[in-house]
Amino acid sequence: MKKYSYLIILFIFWSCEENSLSPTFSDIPVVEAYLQPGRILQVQIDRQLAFSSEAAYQDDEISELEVFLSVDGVQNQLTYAADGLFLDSTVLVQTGMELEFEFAFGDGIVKGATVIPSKPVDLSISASTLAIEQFDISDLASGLPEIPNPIDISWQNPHGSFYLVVVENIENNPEPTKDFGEEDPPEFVFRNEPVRGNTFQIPPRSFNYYGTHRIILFHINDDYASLYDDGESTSQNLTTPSTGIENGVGIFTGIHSDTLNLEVTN
Amino acid sequence: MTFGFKLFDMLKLKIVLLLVSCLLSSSLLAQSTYSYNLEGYDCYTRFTKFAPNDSYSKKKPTIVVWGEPGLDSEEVFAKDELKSISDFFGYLFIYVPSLAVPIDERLSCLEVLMASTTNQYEYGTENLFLQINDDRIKPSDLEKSSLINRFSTINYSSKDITTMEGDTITEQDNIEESSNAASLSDNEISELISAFQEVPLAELKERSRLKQRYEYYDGPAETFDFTLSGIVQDGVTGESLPFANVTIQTNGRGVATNMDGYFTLNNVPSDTSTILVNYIGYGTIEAKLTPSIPKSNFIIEAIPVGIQLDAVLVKGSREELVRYNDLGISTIKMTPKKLEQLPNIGEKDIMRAFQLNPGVSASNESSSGMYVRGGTPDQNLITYDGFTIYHVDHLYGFFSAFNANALKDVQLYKGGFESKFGGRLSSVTEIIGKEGNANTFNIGGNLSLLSYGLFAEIPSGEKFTSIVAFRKSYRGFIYNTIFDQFNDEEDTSGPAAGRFSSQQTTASSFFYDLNGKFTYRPSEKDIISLSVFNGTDDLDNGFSFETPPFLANQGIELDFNVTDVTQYGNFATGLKWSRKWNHKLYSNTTVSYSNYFSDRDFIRSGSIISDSETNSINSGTFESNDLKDFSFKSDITYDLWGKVTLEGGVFGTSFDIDYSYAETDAEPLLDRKDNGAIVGTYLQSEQKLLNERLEISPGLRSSYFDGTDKYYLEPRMSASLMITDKLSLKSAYGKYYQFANRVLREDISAGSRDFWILSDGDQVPVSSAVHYIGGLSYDIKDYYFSAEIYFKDLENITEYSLRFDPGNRPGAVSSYDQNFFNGLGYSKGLEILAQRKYGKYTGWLSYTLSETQSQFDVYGDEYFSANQDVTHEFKAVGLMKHRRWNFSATWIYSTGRPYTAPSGAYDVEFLDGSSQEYFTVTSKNSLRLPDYHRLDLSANYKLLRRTAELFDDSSDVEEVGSIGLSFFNLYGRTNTWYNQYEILEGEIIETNVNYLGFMPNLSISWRLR
Repeated sequence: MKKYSYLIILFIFWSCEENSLSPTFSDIPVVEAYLQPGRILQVQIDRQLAFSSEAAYQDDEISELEVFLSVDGVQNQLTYAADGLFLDSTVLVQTGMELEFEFAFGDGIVKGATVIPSKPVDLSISASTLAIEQFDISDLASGLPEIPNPIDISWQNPHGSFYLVVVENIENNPEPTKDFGEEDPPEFVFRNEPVRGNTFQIPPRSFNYYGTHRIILFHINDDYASLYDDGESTSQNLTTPSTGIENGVGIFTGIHSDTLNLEVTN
Repeated sequence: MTFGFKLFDMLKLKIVLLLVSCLLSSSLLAQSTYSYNLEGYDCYTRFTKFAPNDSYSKKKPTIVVWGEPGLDSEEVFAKDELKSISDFFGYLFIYVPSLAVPIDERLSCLEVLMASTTNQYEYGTENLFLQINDDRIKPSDLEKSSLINRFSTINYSSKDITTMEGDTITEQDNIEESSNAASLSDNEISELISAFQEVPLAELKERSRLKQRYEYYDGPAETFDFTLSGIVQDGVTGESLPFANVTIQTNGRGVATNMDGYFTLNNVPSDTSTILVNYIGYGTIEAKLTPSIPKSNFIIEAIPVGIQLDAVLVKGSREELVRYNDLGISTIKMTPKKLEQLPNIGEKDIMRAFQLNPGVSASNESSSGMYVRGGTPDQNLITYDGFTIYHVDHLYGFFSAFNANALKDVQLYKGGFESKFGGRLSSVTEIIGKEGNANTFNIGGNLSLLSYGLFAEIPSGEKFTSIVAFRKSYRGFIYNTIFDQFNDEEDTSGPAAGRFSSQQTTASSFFYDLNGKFTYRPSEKDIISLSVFNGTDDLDNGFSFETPPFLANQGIELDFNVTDVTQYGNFATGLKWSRKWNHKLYSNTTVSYSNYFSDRDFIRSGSIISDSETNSINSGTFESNDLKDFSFKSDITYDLWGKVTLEGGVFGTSFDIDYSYAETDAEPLLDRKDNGAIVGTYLQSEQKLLNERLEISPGLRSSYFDGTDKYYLEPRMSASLMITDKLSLKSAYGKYYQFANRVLREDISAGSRDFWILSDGDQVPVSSAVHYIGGLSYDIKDYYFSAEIYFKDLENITEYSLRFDPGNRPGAVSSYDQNFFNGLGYSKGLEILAQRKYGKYTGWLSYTLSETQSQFDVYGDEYFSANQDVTHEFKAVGLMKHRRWNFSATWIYSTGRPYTAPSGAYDVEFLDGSSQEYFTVTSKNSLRLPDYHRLDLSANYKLLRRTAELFDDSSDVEEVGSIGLSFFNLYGRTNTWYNQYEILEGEIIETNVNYLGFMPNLSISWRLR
């Protein structure tokens, strides 16, 4: 028996801890909250769509979740409104607020935190009007229209924060600046990438409609900026979206904006 | 009474035969007459051959009849009565006239004639007989000539019968010279039958064996308790045989030859002891010592027939394909010589053969590199003649880069390996290339449905040998199947899909390899060899599109090209000097250079011109990896006090490893240029205790790596205890570090790839492992059983992944070099083996239960199954020999490997009102591919050539090649290789990329000798 005791010791290795496999589909919630000064606290919570019809979802009902949000360390439970929206209408978001949310979902606690950034400083625009000649592709014989100077937006950014410029036509039925042909008319808002500098140039050809445009400069946090990287899943590489949310996905971030108007004329 | 019947029967037959011969005129008999020498020359003669049964095989007893004076050969034939005796029906007769020249000249002429006609006689001189009817020839005359040695029995028509040994059978009644057939009395016939009695083949063999074993030296021993050193060689080619077991028969004590075939055996009881040499592919060889043998530089030649050489007699017996017994813990040895016995896809492949063993994963068709005990292929050190080979895959990994024609010996250490090996976490594959035939020129080649190969072995003088082996694929059936298997995805996902038709414009894909070894032995003590290993895969899957007519009609012009060029391979060379300083001290010094390179350019470019608008498409990936290894090492073995062997050495490697990965034309996402050097030393010993029943091998390896400016100590230890003669207990422990790693670049959607990189102590730390191994083996005559259990603790393992955003903004893409993730892991397993070693039916059953888990912080706190984790693996290998046929069947079953897949999607609305779709993936490796299994069959027919060798069924023919038919995946199991995911319009499309289906192969190999 003595000579076999050695073997028994060896077999102990085999009895090391076992790790159970995680479920194939992680039903972690999708959180979406843009917290902006002057607005009430509200968080949107949804579920992911599983690819497999056999994927198992958690038992939790979104509407029954107990979502807590702490403002500068003081925690309150949000009220469920509808369609996954939770809110607290008693508190208005302010600059510099430190906000944290958490709720239990499945076996884990979903949580995230953000700080409300400062308002953009010294937002200015190179021109208050932009004259664009209407362009008709069927009238090429008369020559290409003259291209005006681009619009330059600038602000102060001593700390290298991320900023996002959003341009929106606020007219009800704006007249197009070009012939869209058979294509669908573009949105009234156009999308730009976040920048880390203190200027942004809007090329004239970006404007698809005439009329008043609202130019909104958002001071944003890094986590929101990262979202723009992650939309690049291709067949070459499936990117895992970055998120600041623990046990969940999506975005929980503070933003702060300033606005200018620009008139686009013919 | 019995004799009477026999005589009666004989007479009856004789009469029948005489009647037959009378009926047939002599011209109708099937005798043939030949000329020897040119007319006019002294020895010009004509002789006649006749076989009563019309078979002229050389493998039959032969009677030479020397005719009476004045008769020509036809007349001698006509007068001869022996041919009519039924006992001689299966004999061959040669009739020669007695020439009218002086007697010594007459004998001399017969000598040369006999030398010519019985040259390469295949049935032993015991079955060569001479009947002399010329009464002028006396026995005393014969004694002066060599004829007395050529024939076993010489009968004079009127004299005594003399045997080869000089014994005289007294002829009581002289046989009268007579031309009358009837003059032979029954007694005479009986005497003749007795004198010319055929010695059966089996008896010949036994006589030979006895003579060689017991008659060569049966005197007393003269030297006792001495040290014997020498070399074990292949008796035919002169190749040294590395790692052969040399043991003393009486007490079972032994040693193994070193990589150059040398051995030193201490305390040999006497100089009449029998030494047993065991080498895979040669079986057990008995070497019986005599006092006259050299005590050093003693040569044991292993050939499958008893021969006498340098005062030693050797005899080979059973042949094996794989060996587990008589080796250290977790060690497997396979012989490249026997590989054709196993089924193969296109090429006999040593790495594939190892994958049939327990502890080595067999379900990775796309990797020739070995997954040993949960380790990855880069954790397996591959040394080829002492230098490191970094990449062993041909054609996407379906074939290994090792040409079996150039290999002599391969050993796999699955874990717990000794201190002289280092720089790897998992295992060691030690390959020794052939030196080439030392005795004679040899050439050979092989052809399969995948490739063709040639090799040449060219000795020069007694000191120089060389071998060059070349192999190249051609785009045949197998190549195309595998190539398409790998490239299907790109064909369908590109613009080739749909209504556009693709046009393959390049078809230059191929692989080749070239091995060479040049060995010079300036003295009996020195060997200098230069070994070269070179192989390249050149894969071109580019294609282009032209504008289809229906688009051209609409004024759309299409110009689209896909460039997909991959080139990878190795160039490595090593110069080795081995010296046997004395029977105690042996040294081995190698300087080497090894380069692995891999470049892949995958570009989709082109333009679509319509309505004066040009849309350009330009996307792609560029990946380049280049590793250079300059190494030096020197090993010294010293035999201390007989029972303790000390081995030590120094080593140094300078690495220069570059890797870059870029998408489209942007700056590389990852661009590393690493240099570093490792220097170190090791010391290990092997000691035998408890009457050699306990063997303990402690060792220590110490390295300094300038990349981290740190020293690394690796203590190791192995022990084996023979509990009984059959039952052994083995164990091993060891610490291992790895400085150059092949890091996985995770790609969930298109399949992961990997690249070599040097540790930097920061993002890519020096990885380490600790092995704990224990095992039991039970070795009996024809069977071998073993069970081993192992635990491997891994730290600082690295993976690279682009699926995690580095957290910075676009433009700072170089920050992707931060995307190395480190973790830890473990692997544990149980391996069980049952082998039938010898017999008509051989083979083995193996079962492996294992678990390999990793934990990377980036994937969470939990351990997850490593990519190579396979829980159960069962393998059955059956081999059968039937005459010239070898049949084999292998069946492999393994549970599926883990993988990660996209699992879900969600939207996020941006501040501009637009929304973006994101995809989530399952937790790391939480899914399992379906189980893998397949059955392979093969039949192999040996091509033989008759040789002048004697005495043994297998030795009077020589194997010069084989024809093989192989069926891979006989029942066409669809085994999944990996899953591919493509996102199109927000939809995930899953594609199963499968391994090979049913694949037949035909191969032919041939060599001169």
